[in-house]
Amino acid sequence: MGIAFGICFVTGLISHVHQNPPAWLDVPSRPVWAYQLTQGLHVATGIASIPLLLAKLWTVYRRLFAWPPFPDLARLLERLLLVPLVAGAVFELVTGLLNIVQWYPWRFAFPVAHYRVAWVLVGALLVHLAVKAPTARSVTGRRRRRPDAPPEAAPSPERRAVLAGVAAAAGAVTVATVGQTVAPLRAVSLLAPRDPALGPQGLPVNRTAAAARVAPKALDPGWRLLVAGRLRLSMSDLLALPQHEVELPIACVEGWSASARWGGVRLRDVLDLAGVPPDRHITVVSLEEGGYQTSPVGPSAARDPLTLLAMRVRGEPLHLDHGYPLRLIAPNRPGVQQTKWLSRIEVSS
Amino acid sequence: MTPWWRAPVLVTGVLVLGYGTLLVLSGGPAAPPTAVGVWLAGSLVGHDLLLAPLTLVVAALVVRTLRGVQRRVVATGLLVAACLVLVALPALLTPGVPDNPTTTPRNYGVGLAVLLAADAAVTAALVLAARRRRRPVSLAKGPVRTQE
Repeated sequence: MGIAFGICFVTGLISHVHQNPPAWLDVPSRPVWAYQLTQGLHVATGIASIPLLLAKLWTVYRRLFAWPPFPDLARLLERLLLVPLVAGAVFELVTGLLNIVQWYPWRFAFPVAHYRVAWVLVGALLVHLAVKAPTARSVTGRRRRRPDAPPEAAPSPERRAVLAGVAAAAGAVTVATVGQTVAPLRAVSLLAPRDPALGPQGLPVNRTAAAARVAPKALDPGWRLLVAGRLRLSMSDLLALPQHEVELPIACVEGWSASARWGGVRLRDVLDLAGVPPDRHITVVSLEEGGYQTSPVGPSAARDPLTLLAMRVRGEPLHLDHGYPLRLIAPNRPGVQQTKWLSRIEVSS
Repeated sequence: MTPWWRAPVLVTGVLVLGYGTLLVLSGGPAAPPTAVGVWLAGSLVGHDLLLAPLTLVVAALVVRTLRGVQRRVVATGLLVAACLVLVALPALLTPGVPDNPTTTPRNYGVGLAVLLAADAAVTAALVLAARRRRRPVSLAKGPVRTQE
């Protein structure tokens, strides 16, 4: 349980830093598959910890009704601690599960609340572990025994059955969903919220052109990419630059991922053309107006030869839902920041 | 016997819990504390007053009707089924995203039914295997024991 929540917390922090990088940080653009791995793990571990959490809570549930409820101050504090612990754990799993099907029946921004409550949960979990330290050790049997201590009983069949049951349930829910990022399992992942091969041009879409209300601007023949406020590139200008093809995954925050072959010009070629110094942080700006309009690109990603301003995917011009006329595609980057329908590239001072 | 790491973990935990609480209370339009609080309270109540008691009722029924290996196998099958249902529920109940057929594209009702059927089949096979294993023993060594 602790390990599962630890994985979720660390991978969650990585995703948070990707999406909210401090100004001084240049998020590394390699390894290419890093975000695909950490975010896939984040979601898969969260799903697998559902049976872990339930089994844990159900085995201790009857202790809630111990009498007297608060024999001393220590016991009172321990009980109060259960409030953030249980509420936080259930909250994180429920909001995470609803987010991966893009269902938001609440009045807060999912990433903000999910991130904040994660700190509450991890704090409560650490305190809980410290308070329970002696018991946890005697259960795992790793404590060095004094010679006069009674021999420890072998785990009972009931306890072994609980562990086996939890393992079976964790395995079942994992196989039922993990095919959204592990492509060979997509046929058996009957409950996966995404099919990585389903969508226009064989790729899923998170935000459609209709939802982003960009169609008129994106389809306008007068479209130009404005670079650093001084360079205007039309589609034929971009096609006249050296063209490159790269194989990169779209790795979504919601835990699905799919790889494809993208074609276009290198971002660094365009930046060089506009005379942008190589150490600058830049911002890519979409035609879309609203929350996902811009995303920051550090020097490491901006100068990576794999980072493209893509015009093609799988040999075809981008589908409007995949960001026509031009989108960013970069290694080790959350899908939500692979900004679509580009209109401008701005240089930070 | 207090392990050496107890104090540092305790202090770290208190600091992290305090930081998280301040974050939640800091509010802002993106996550008003009242909106988050309602869902936190709902999480606690939903589990402790709904899901857990329901489980206890089911568990009591299983305990009353089955014994030994069979009881453990059936309990495992039920836990697997419960977790599959919980994971399937959001996909089954979501209103879906308009104009985006790539979100929740499958027939999750059929998917869940197939998985639950597989779970039931495995559970039934294991229960039968457990019964069969017991029978030769009972022939050789006298009456079947009721308690394992």
